[in-house]
Amino acid sequence: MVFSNLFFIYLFLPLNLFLYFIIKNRTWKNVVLLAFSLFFYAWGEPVWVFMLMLTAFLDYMWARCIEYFRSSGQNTRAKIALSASLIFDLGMLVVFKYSGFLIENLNAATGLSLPIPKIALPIGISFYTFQTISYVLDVYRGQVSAQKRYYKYLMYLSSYHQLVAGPIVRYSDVAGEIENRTTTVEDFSEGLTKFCIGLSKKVLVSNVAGKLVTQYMDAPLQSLSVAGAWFGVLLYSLQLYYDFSAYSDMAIGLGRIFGFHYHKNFDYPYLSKSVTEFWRRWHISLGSFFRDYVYIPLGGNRKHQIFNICVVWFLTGLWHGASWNFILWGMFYGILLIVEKIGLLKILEKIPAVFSRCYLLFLTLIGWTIFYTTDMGRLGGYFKVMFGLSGNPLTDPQLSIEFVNNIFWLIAVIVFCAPITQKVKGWLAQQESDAKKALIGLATAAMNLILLFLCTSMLVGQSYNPFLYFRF
Amino acid sequence: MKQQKKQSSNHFAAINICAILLTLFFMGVLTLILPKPTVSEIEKRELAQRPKWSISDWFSGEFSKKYDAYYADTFPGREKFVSVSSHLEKMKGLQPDEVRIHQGNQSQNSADPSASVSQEGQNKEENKEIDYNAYHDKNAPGNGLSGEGSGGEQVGSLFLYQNMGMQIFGSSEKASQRYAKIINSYAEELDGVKVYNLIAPSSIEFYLPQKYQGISSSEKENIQFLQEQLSNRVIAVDAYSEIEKHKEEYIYFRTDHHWTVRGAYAAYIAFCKAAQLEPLALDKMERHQIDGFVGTFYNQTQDEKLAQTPDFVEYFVPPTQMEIWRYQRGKPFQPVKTSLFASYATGGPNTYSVFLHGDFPLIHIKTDNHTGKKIMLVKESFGNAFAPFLVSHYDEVFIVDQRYFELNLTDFIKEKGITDLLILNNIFAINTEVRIAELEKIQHQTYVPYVPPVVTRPKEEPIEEQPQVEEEQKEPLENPQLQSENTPTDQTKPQKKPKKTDDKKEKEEKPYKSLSQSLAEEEAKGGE
Repeated sequence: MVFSNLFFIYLFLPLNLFLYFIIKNRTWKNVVLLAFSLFFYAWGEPVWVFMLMLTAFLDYMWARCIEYFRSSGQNTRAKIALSASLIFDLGMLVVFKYSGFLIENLNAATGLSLPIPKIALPIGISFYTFQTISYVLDVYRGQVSAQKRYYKYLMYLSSYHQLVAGPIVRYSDVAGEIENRTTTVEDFSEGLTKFCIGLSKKVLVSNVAGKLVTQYMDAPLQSLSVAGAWFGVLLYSLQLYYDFSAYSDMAIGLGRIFGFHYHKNFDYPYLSKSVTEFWRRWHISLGSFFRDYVYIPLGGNRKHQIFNICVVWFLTGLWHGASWNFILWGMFYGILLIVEKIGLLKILEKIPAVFSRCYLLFLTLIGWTIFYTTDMGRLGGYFKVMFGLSGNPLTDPQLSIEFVNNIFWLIAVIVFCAPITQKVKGWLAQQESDAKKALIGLATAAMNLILLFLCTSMLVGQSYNPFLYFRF
Repeated sequence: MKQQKKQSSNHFAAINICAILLTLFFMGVLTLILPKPTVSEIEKRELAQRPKWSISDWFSGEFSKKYDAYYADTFPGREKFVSVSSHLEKMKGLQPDEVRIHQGNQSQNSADPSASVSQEGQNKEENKEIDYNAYHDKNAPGNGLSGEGSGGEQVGSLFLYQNMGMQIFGSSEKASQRYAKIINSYAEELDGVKVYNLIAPSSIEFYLPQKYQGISSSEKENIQFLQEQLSNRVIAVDAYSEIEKHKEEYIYFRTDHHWTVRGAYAAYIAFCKAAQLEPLALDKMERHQIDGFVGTFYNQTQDEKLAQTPDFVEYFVPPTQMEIWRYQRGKPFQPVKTSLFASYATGGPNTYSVFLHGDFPLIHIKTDNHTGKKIMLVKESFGNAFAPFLVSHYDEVFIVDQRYFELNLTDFIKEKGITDLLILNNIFAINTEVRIAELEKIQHQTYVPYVPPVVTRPKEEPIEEQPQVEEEQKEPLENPQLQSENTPTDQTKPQKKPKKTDDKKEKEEKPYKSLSQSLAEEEAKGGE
């Protein structure tokens, strides 16, 4: 199931809320949440839900073993248990996500013709694998104590809030809340608002942009104009940001309703002034995962930093998909980060913000072009069009019609890449008088209802809306 | 004091909570208790039905998919929400001159051949829907063209100008060359048979306002290019210039991608010139008209402007005496008596199927002309409006649909002693790899019994629950289920409606709304 689905919004969610809040017993609350999460996952993955349960069970056991071995000083055994856990988790990820890619390349390199397995990628495997790895590693490092109850660990790992498309919530961040949590009225209200906003980002922006994107990014190269090529990438950048941050918003909102506080995953990334900053604001939970579990253990900035950066960005690229363009995309960012570390960053900080912002946006667009195009030949051709090297016309009439047809929407979408809502929220929080607060309360409710109405209309009207990030 | 402040702000947050929760619960309860509609009048289709739960459907994921579709299809106030969403579409910007472009049905991942397997998993579902053999007209905008050949990619888009829709054309030299090659090889191989090639231009070529020229490739150039590739064994029919002469007339539908019978008639005049025949004047034939045709462009866009001004379908019955048989898929040796026109058609989205009753692999006509000539027309759906004109000039007419024909065409032509072969494709088809591949395939294929694709759409409830007798009447309900599998998006609609036609063909029935009625009527008419 996905969040932008009528069945989820109008049946699953209300029923879940009703049962969760009518039950007072803490254990049963967790059971309700677990049952709904498993149902949510099984709705889309009726078979692989069992693998999720198995993964959770194995890591629950390994973590307990590791904790026991550590506490009794048997470090070697703890290491073995850790390795076993990692091998299974990463092994599953490789089998399901990368086996086709690996064999394809093996065939190409050796001239063999091994059959390429067609394995369906279970939804969310990239996300929950990282979550479970972070848990086992944290237990190994002694940063968090192992969960004593399987169902609670499973509840964490399968939690439908973040299972399908992140953020990568670490067990250590919610360990306390798994045992004991309360939902305040403010939490509930803000959670709902966040959910409505996230839903709108997905339905009113990302889905709409997605339809336009293919128009340009999939167009035959000879019929593409220079402006059209850029317009396509621009729309794709908007689509990716709105899609992914929508999902994170909805996850964070739902989490808050149920008393979990997840960290923010996106922090207005397109306002960054350097690639370094961009990656501190884009998909924060993924960046910090690689920082804490790959970059720092490799030696961080203390030894062979350049090598470490390359490894991290190779993996980041690969995580996004089993295809060379993702690796290329990762390395593109790796190299940019190295260049910035060497000295560019200092220059970027000194020059006027408008230049550094343009610098970042330009590179981001280039990056997303690589990200979108799996066919390397086409990628080269597309770049040629973008930079006017293939003699394509500067603009085309279709672009100008479509631009005008979407002009209001486009302006709004670009404007909301800036922290407008955050500013408004900050201003609202300063209001003291009850009258103003009442007004704010009403306005918030009205806004949410309108958004919900618009989203419902769009969802009824266009029922085709797979999440982009299923791919990962 | 602090406590109080906290209290009051709680109070206001509660407004938000109550408002949203009440809405969610209220709508949720409504979705459960309200009677479920089964038909959408606006979209002219049956809605998805509640799927029956079974273990195998659950584990294959079919159940949840169907349930989602059923839920969305039967959502309370659905039609109002849909109309809000189409209004929202318009509010995204400005429409100078009432021009809008409707994007084709390119899913986000279509351009992504090496996308991960999970996507392929999802695509699999879609591919089931876009079963190239299963639906009636792949030349419908966005049909069969997606991702196939560069020429096809842009085709998914529609240019809407006031109350008229036009498919945006993108040519592909590569595809056109391949098309020419296959036509040449037919000519090469069929010694003694006159081979004609006719290309039907589309409406955008004649009706695109000057201001927007350049949005669509030139069809004229593409036809010329193709003409140059043809060997001198092939007789080119210049339909383009003949149609151009009549462009002030009603030669293309506004709400559908086909030509009208008048467009087809202009092409027929061109054919007569090429074949040195004396064309039969329109007034020598009996004119009929069916009103209320709202075709594929409307299905695709749900654009009100199009719906407000429906097209009408004219057809002209030639005075020739003839006997007609059609062969349906999977039964290439079992003729069924039929007629040239499905005269009981009453408007609606499938009215174009009045010509030849829709698409059949083969239709065989015997006339009393005694000319000593037999013609075969190889066509996609544009040929349907054209084919009836041929009966005035030949002893026998064989109408082959390149998409569905199951026998070896070359052998067939020789066996039947065919003297003239006319290949008629529309301009999109000659730039679409799928269409061309079909022409290549039928040239020498060996007959493999066709198994209707029931596997992809397990028949459930309606059939199980209904007594055998009613099964046929219930048949149309199968369609929305198909639709439901893939959740209806406006672009997929044109593919589905035709599919309905196809399903029915399997049952030797007619593609019209009231199936039982049409059946009865046809029975009454007998072998007309």
